[in-house]
Amino acid sequence: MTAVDAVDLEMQPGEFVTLLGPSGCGKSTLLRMIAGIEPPTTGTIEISGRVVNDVAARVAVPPEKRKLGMVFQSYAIWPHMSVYKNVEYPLRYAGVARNLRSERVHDALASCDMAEYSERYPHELSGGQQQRVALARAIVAQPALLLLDEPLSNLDARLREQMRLELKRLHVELGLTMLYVTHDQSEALAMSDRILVMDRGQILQEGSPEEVYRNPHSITVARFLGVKNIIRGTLVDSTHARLGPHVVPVTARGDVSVDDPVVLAIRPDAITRPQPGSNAAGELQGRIRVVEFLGTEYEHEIVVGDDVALIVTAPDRLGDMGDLIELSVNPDGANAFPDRGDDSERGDVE
Amino acid sequence: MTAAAPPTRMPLPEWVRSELHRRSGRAILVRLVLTIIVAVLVVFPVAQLVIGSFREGGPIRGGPFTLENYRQALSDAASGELLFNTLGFAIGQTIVPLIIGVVLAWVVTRTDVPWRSFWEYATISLYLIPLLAAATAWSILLANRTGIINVLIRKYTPFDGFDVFSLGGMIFVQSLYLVPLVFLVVSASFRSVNPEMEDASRVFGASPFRTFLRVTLGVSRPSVMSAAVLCFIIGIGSMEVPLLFGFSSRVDVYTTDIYRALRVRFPPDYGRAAAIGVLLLMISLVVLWAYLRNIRHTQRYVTVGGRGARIAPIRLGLWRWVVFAGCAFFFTLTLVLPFAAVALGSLLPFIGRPSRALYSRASFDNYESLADNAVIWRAVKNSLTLAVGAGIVVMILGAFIAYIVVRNPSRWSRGLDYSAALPLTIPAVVLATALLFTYISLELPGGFRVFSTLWILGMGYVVYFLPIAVRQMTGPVIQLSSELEHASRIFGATQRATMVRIVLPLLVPALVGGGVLAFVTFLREFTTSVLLFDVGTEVVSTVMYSYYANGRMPYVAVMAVAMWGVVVVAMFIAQKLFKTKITF
Repeated sequence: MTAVDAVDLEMQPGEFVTLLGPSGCGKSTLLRMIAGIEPPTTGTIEISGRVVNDVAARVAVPPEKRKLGMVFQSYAIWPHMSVYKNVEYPLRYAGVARNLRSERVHDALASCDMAEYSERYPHELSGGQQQRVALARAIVAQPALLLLDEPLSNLDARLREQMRLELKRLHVELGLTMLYVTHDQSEALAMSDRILVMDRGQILQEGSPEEVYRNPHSITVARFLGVKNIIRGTLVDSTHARLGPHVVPVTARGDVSVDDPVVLAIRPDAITRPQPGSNAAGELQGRIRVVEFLGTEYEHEIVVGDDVALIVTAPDRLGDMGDLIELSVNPDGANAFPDRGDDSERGDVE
Repeated sequence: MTAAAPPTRMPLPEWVRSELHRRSGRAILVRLVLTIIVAVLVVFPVAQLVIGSFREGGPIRGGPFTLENYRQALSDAASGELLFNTLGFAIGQTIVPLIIGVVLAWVVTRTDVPWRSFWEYATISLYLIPLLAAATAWSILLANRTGIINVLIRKYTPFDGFDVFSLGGMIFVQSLYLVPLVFLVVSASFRSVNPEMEDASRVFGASPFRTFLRVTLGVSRPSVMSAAVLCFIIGIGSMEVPLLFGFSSRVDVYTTDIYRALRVRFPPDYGRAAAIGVLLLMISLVVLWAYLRNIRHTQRYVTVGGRGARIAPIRLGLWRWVVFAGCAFFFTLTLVLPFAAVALGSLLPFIGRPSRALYSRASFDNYESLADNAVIWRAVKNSLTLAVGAGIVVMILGAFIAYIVVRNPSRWSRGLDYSAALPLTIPAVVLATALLFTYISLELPGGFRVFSTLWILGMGYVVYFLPIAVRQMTGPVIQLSSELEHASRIFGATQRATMVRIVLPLLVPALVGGGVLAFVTFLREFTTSVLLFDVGTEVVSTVMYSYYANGRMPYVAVMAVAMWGVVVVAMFIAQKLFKTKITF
């Protein structure tokens, strides 16, 4: 079983790169290899121009010699040390003189808003505060590279958004180089300079958040980025596909030709009411089965044709349950990929 | 990378190669040392015992191969009775504590009986009572003619007394002091039963009692079974109760037969002892096999989980006072009465029929004359040296093994784990016999002999406690998230610095807790000691036994009181200073 297979990744100083993928896709393994916790079976890893892993040359620098920072999913704050001792730890091994440490610790804690907690012990802190201590500890020694392994996954939704902003702020203020691992597409889209979408140990696509979101190269990437409508269809011409009884405008991706079976990935916000000016009928007709109010928007489940359920989000309510409505599709948000009929992709296909 | 090995090299097995490939030199050295220690302490002696049992004259003389030892051991006129007594004793002292322990665990973990936590505390103190001290107490209380309880029964009721110097008496005494073992194992399981399962049973119509039987006890079957197996193996391998209550009344079991063969007969009959040792080993293996077969489907019992929500205890109504009285009676019987008995006995010139004349002669003379006794002080010194030294050694060994097994699971470390757990499945008397045979004639370069020194006793203690030490440390090591260590490495600390600054400090409470348990266990250890001690290496328990055998009961009582005191103080210190909790 290969967890990480033939991955090429190069990072620029000051860059924020995110590895995005489902659990078990190898993204954490990749991070642990870079940290030196797990040995790669082949290939090389270089940090700041220094080779830390070169399997062919039998080079394997232990983790403590890599000058990295890391934030763990469980925070990994040492419970028997005070907050101060936890944050001071990396400085001791970075060779920082004793009298200079306290200022550095204080600065790191201050930039994470934890300055007044330095004498506390971890069990006296909330989850969010422990997270901040973990972050302060990770940045205190000014690592060449900061690794973050799903650091926000144990926080509740409100704290998660707050920490997301703070991570981004630290990245900008301190000019840190950060490699971030997550399975949450909204985190990846919100923070990264560059996203690498991973699955089964391989990188499927890389690019800026906008590029990856708007221009997924495969159905798998589209699914990881939160596209909820994944439906089988047939390509009618280079810009249209048949979906049940309807024909909708799409953007054809990859190697597909007319009459080929395709899998359509349609973003929930790409399905809208027809523009008032145009001919009032849309490409689709559907009946609203469920409407949910999500606060900033409404989410509708709309049944089209025999039994194809589409998720449609809109800032306004499109109608009541049971209503039959007209819908049109924005081809920028509707991609048609070749249907390889392969099991991995069939999973969520209707 | 799958680098092709040069064709000239010997093809090593796959797992050896992967082991060598993955580990650093130091990691392999640590494993090698641990493996050698476990082999010297456990595997090698047991092999010696088994092989020796097939040789003429037994293991030490190393004569030609023969079945004579087994023929003699089995064809002995008394051998049928011997087997009957051994199994009867072992089964009796399994069933009785199992019933009491399960009921007690249920009462403490699930009902609203008054003073719940007090009863739990009392059960754990019961675990710490030196069996030898308790047995002394019961011989004062229940000896046929002179026992205080028997005298009172005959005087005030129409019933006859109960002679503790019998098979029934042996089962009675041994059972009382195995209750805490069952309690600790079973109550841990009861606590981890998802309370919603019990709620579900109630919702679907079962009474509290049926729910307990069908659900709580049902899903806890593996724990109940493992408690039973532990009791049984202790029963066929322990010597103090059979020796104290059965030896004089000629109720022999296999352990006392081994004692006769090795320590009473002259010259010692090594062949017979070895053959009986192997028979005992076979019995325990059969029981273990049955146990493992019975709990094959472990996933049927996986119940741990829930959300740790404390369920409302079952309301017993007025019955709670009945249960309360039952608890009070049980602990009076097992804790208060025996302590009163040894305290009283230690003040008397001799133990005889209770009478005003006898009690009026109570004094501290026994204490004074024992305080002047050089042998006693030598034994105390030996006992303390052994309890502290072997305690430290065994906990370090246990911590290393637990750490390697948890952190680097591989065939090698699993093999180490199993070998270290082996003594748990071997009756204590068999282990001691095996060690005796292996090291009695061993002479190291420089004329240093292991036998007749404290070293052989220390080895025996370490083997005996090693499985418990590994178990004590495994849980804490599992709970120690490996991310804590990874973090330390990433932030610049070496492997060794990580061990010293992160792993060790976090394991200290567990090490101290296990160390105190080892200390207490060794202080009162008897079976191994009585087979391995020699002149000059007496320990407190063997001196107690020699006074007992010579009829100096008041002296035995004095030592029992002292032993009791030391154990209580040790536990108190451990709990107050290190906040450790005794678990098993």
